[in-house]
Amino acid sequence: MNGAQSQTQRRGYVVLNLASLIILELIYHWGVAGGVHNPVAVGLIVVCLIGLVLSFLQVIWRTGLWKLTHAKVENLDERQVIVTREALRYSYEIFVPCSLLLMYVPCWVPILDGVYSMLCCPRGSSTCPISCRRSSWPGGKRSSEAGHNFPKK
Amino acid sequence: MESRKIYNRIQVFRNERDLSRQDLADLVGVNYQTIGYLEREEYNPSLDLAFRIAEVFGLPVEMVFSTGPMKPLSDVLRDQLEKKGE
Repeated sequence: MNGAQSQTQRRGYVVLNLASLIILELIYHWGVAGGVHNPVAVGLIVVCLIGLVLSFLQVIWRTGLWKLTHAKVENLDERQVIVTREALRYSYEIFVPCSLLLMYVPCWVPILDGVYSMLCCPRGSSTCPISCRRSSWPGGKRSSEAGHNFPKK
Repeated sequence: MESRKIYNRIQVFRNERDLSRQDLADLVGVNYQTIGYLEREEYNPSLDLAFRIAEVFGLPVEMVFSTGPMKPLSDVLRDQLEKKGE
């Protein structure tokens, strides 16, 4: 019973770890790169960092996974090699696709904008949400037009 | 292909020889946690590891590992005695 509980807890920490990393990445790509600085984003970053550290200690450090994944293969026995391989496989299977998706979503936004405007409302009309969204890009331009310029001090 | 569960008598033989998990792990050349996993039958050893464990105990591998549930050693001995008596 205890084993099952601890396994559930560990899974919860894994989810927290991945969620924290993904939210941080989301804030970086859509927040910092877009020039958005507000207390909510800063608070979210702090919460995510705390969650990240906590889950890292619980799930990666205390379980010895860090040592396993950073040890030479020659120093591991066959079970440890399998455990390490499985851990890395799950990590890359879940986290990397999510990260790539998040990184490439901003590239898709202009395309989706265009499709949305063609289907739903004429560009420039007062009801068009795209004109509102457009003002949120750095310098009032889309990322494709403005490039990845960081906000000037 | 899903692998079959491998049953073993590692814990029995280890206790008979008064070896700790760490001692056996050192003799075999694995981590002590791996011995625990093997004893709980949560991990199937490779052929090499199975032979190494059997060699440490000085027994044939089929006495230590089996693909079916293993009888207690007392039952095996009794069966052998009964066979001899016949």
